Amino acid sequence: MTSLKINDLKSDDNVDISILQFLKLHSSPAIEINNIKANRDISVKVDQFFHTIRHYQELQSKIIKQEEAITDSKNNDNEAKQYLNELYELLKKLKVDVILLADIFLNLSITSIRLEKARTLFEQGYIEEANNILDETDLSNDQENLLIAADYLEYKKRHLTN
Amino acid sequence: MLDIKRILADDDLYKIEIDNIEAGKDISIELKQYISQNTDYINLIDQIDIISKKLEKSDKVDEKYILGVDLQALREKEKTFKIQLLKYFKHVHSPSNDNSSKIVELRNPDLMMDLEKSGEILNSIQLQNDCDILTSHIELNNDLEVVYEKLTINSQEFLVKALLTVINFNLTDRFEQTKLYYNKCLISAERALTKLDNFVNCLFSYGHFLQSHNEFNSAELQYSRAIALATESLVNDEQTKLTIAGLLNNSANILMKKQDYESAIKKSKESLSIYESLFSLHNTGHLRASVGTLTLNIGIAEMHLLHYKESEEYLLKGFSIVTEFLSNESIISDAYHNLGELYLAKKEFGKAINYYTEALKLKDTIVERDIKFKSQLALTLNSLGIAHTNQNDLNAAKYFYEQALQLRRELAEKNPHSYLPDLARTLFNITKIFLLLNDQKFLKTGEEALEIYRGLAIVNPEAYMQDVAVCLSNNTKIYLNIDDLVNAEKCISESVNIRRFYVEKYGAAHLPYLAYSLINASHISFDLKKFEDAEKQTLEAIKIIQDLSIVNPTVFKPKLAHYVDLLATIYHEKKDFKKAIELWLYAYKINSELASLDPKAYKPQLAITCNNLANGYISLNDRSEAYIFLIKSIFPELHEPQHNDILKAIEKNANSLGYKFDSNGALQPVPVNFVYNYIKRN
Repeated sequence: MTSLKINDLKSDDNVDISILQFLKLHSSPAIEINNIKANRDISVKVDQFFHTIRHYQELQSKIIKQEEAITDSKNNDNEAKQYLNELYELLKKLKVDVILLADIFLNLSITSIRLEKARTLFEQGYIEEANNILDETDLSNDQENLLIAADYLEYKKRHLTN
Repeated sequence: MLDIKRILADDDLYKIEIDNIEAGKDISIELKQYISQNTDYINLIDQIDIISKKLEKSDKVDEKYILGVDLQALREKEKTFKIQLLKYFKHVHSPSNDNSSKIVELRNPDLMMDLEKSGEILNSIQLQNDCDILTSHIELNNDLEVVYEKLTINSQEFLVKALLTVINFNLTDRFEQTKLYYNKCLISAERALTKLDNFVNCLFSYGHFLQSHNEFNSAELQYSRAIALATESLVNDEQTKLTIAGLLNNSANILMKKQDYESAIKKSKESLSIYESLFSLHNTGHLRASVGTLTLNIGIAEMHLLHYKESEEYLLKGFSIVTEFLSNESIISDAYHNLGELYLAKKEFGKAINYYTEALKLKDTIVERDIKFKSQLALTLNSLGIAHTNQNDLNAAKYFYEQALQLRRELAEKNPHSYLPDLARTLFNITKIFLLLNDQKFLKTGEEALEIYRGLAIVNPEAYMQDVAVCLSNNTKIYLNIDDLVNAEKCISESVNIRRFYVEKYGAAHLPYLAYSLINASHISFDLKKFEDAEKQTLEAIKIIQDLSIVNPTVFKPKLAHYVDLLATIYHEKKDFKKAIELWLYAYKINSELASLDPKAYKPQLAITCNNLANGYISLNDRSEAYIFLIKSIFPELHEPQHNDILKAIEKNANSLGYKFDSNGALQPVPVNFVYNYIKRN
């Protein structure tokens, strides 16, 4: 809700810090999300970060193409306009989800090598690569083994207490 | 016992006693007495006595030497024993040993003095077993803690994966995949029993994801679980409080969307109280913004519940926070606009206009910088139109509606999905103004509004069918205004059909609207001389309103009188004069009751019915009754006028103008002398 200092920020001051450091030191995920949702200005640093994400770039080019198509056709094509609006909404959602993920990374107290790697890739805008690090099969196997271990140890503990 | 306990409890006294024993000095009498009861100590002292006595009696040098050495050794042993005994007593009486049943048993005074029996209680094998179990417990707990920690990491990995998946817009099953990872995340987080805060955070994140994808019920479920867990947890730190406040706030936002304003207020207030308590400790911008926004939200919810006093209190409080502490113009302009909405609802139109005007000034500036705020500007312009309409300043209303209309046309052109409903709303509003100003543009705007609503209702009938019905009723007036009875009939009969559909689908709440549409339809049928249709429509409307007037007489009795009056007129036109008079008398009875309660409001209606009755009796050739009701229509305050009363009343008013109401309810001046002469003639 509060973007008090946002307008005073200069992009040059934040060149060397990561998006997570920026959000921690100069803004906050809550502020940026509120600004995105209310169509208000967001920080320059955050905006630059969005441009490094491939999905963001793809959506942006789809939007530009669609805008051009509507301008060129000069027809009152409601379907085309509807699609353009859907793209605008998707872009907004993408921005919010990216900041939410940044918020999660900022608040992680316990971490793993996989998470560390995923965080580094995320900070560079490599969303898919970060996703690949967190391989679903690996995570599910880990989960299964950990649940079995927890079952066994909890059973043993109950037995010991009795 | 009390004294020795005092020594054992006081570290300084205890140390003095130990030092005295070690230095061979006297110890306190209490301690001496206490130690001297111990059987082992007594045995030791006995041994010392025996050796001392032997030493006294012995006269052999070598024997004396040996006895002396033994005595010295025993005295050292006594000193050590005293110290050990004192340490033992202190340990047994230590409060930290209160959990051990065995130690508590040892505090028995008899056992304190018998170390052998005490030793039996502390069986070494048993103690070893206890020790082994404890060790296993510790090891198990350590192992479990490691597993829980790993499960927490696993949950966080799934959480991050869920959020990475939701960003991937190329995935066709993006939403389902994300949900799957969130569910896996929750399985691990829930199992890590000692990492409750992590589980709460995962639920929070999942709830937010579901909320942003409009799955409000599921989102609310996650929030409720998280709130319950965080509230029950023993941790009462600021981070937990902040988490609970955020969860409550999100939950309240969902409830607002679901229009469950009472629950939304309850949750918002809980959240607000946490933010306020944190704000009193840390004066940060984020907390201040949360306090301001939540206060405003409570005010808005109270307004929806028509709790205007509470709404005003919160909106003004929120307004002062955001205007004093925040420099964000869009938040401040929203705060102004909300106050405008409140005073509009309270029918304090002047105040409403003032606040809307302030909001307008800010929004004008914002739009110059950012065209994304056009819709917000249009909203305030439209509200200004409504406020001015209510103040009967029709030209001002027209001015603001025209501006709103222009903006909304631009917005709808670019984004029909989002802004067509707004455009239709302003078109509908401006049509009403055009009708009142008799500006012929009403036909164009009215038809355009209807066309848009029809289009919207095809996609979302639940949301827009009612608007179509309202628009049709409005357009009926347009066609009546240009004497196009055929189109007027078409509009109103479609409106009746929609209302009937709503009654069937959603029940009794829509019955009044059906009755209103039926009466409008009846008026048109009447004008088109379709008396059978008019009779049928009016009878159906009367049946509805009769039932409703039992439950809510204040609202529906006046309508019942009006509808009965109309039905009587229809019968009169059908030449069924007796039935017409019977009904007019019924309407007269209702109107008389109403006029006795509120003369100012209901005398006009009573006068109309009297006038109609007079006409009815004239049609029946009953001149005597006719003139009574004719006089009553002019002087409705005369309940049962006698001939002389009437004459007196007329004479009293002979030099002034009387009044009567025509069949349209308009006040018509009638020369009293004319009535006077008329009565005298008859």
